Amino acid sequence: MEKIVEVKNLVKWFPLKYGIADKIMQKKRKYVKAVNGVSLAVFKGENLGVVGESGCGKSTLARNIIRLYEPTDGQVFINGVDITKMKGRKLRNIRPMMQMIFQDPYSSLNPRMTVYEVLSEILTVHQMVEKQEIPNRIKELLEMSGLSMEIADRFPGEFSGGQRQRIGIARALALEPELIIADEPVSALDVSIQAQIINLLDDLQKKLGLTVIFISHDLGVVRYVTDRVAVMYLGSVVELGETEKIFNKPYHPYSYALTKAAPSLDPTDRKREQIIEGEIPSPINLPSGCKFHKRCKWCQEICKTEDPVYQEIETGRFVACHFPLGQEERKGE
Amino acid sequence: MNKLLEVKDLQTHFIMKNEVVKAVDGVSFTIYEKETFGLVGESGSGKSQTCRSILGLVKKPGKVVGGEILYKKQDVVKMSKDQLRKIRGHEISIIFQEPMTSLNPVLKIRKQIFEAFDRTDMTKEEKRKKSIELLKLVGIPSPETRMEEYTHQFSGGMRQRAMIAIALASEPNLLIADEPTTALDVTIQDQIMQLLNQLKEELGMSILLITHDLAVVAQMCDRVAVMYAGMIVEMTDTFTLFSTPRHPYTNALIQSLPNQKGANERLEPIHGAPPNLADLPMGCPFHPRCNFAEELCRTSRPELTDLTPTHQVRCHFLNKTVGFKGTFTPDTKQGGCDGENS
Repeated sequence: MEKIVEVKNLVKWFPLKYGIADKIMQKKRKYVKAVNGVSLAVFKGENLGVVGESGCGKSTLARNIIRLYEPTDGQVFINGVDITKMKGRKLRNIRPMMQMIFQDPYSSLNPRMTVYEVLSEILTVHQMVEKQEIPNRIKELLEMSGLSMEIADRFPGEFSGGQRQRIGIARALALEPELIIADEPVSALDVSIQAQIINLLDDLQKKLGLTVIFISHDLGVVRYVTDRVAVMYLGSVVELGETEKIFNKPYHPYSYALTKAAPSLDPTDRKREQIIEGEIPSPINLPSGCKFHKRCKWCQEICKTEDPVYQEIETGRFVACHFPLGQEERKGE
Repeated sequence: MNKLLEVKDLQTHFIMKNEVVKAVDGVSFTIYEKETFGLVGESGSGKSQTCRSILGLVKKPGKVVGGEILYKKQDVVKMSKDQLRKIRGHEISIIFQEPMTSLNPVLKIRKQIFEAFDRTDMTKEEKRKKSIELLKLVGIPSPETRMEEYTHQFSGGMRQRAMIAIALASEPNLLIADEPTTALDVTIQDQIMQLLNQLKEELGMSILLITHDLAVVAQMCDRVAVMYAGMIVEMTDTFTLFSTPRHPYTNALIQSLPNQKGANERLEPIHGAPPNLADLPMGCPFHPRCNFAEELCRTSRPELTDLTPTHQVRCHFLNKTVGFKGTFTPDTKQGGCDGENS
């Protein structure tokens, strides 16, 4: 299958404030280590989910892929082209093919521009269509997103959350992208509206042959929407594979804990067992060894000192763990 | 079972210059001792204003314009500020969604817990002991040192735990939890839900849980009321609600969740958007979005009617709403109505 995105050993550290006093005291510079060596590929036409708790680096990863951030180390390839160090016009030329849909439709649209202005600005700047074609294209975009031309002269403030998210989608589609990065696209919406937006994204993906990277903390949505999923913890991918396989039989203890922590809709299925304790450690001082070892039920001596290798233990299934769950029985098979 | 709180025909309206927003429009329910009662609904359904009304915390221009809220047979609505103060934060406590904005950033956690003891004549040492006990109870490690810290030194989950500890300091009979887990990650949400469940058992208090998340309801509540446009549309025990929902809105909510679907099944969203509370549609407020609506629904508002003594539904066409698929099939041996304690 064709790789549309390939990320190799991506690292992104954000420096913390380093004042003159720190310099005099000769303190070490500190960093928020948001992404620590992520390697993955996104195939054309698929929907790859990225899940994890807040602060695990899933949004940072996405913003590096789309080059809203400049990676500290590692490489990002889009359609085989290295864009890691790309700048200026070159970058601007490649940007239209990857677009982002943001979580909060309230803050990602300019409140002083009408919907028409928002869309026509993009079409003009990137010279997507001839000037006289702009109204037609806007009509098409709005209809594609389940809106009508009647709303084009209104301001974002006049819309409900669901409609705003539709405008955000229309905006992303205006540049005819191949890759859409949806960063928590339904988290801010009401339950009844969530399903509308999920269906819309699903239809558009099929119709336009889009590739989607779907970032979410809602495991129910991710399980339903995505084909493959990457589970992230403290800036690293700990497990990656087909969504159904991971949800049915997670190998990494963290994936296991995440899937078990998601509350069930069945009131007879109430849990008594605590699967994961504590909270995600600070990304400034990363734990030694396996980053998950402090919260892991199955932690051994080696986990405390040695970082497990991220490797393919089945075709298409990557895990970073010294003792993946269910390993013994698989050896016996 | 003894009634702890009884809300009767509560009406909380926001009276603006040109319009009246009926945030809560005739809500009645009862919370018994030692139970968790859930109010579930989308944003703008009136669930938060209902709980604010109970504590007399409705902000202007909002006002309770009708109905009674009986706490231990006393009407909270008619109470003077002083009387209310004796109940609020003492017999009834509340925890909010975002602990960072509801805790005081310039006071140490210790001070904030101590405030709850203001009306007691405990000595400092007793207060200290009690605070440590509380922080231990809610699962904050090394409470002696943590209580000397400020809120910004706590993580999200720990802040929520600290807030629960403060709410519990006065040993309330009723704990109101307004979206207690919405701002938290799944793993932390799981911890907080289990903590609340466990505290309810240990301390024998009642919980009024307000949430938009049906899964949280399924995990925590004994009984539940579904709200839409300021009204209760369905009220029953959790098991009945999730096995045999009878209001079209409840059913639509359940069906729109991706958890209920296989990967190739299409989600069934509720079309349209929630109504404007200042300008509710005639008749049943849900009719513009309902798949079963008929002429009658457009003209006349249905009453909340008893389907069984423990199951009330607000719908004209209950004969049409039979056979909705719930989230699980009840075990016939266990029976649907008596809850998890059977």
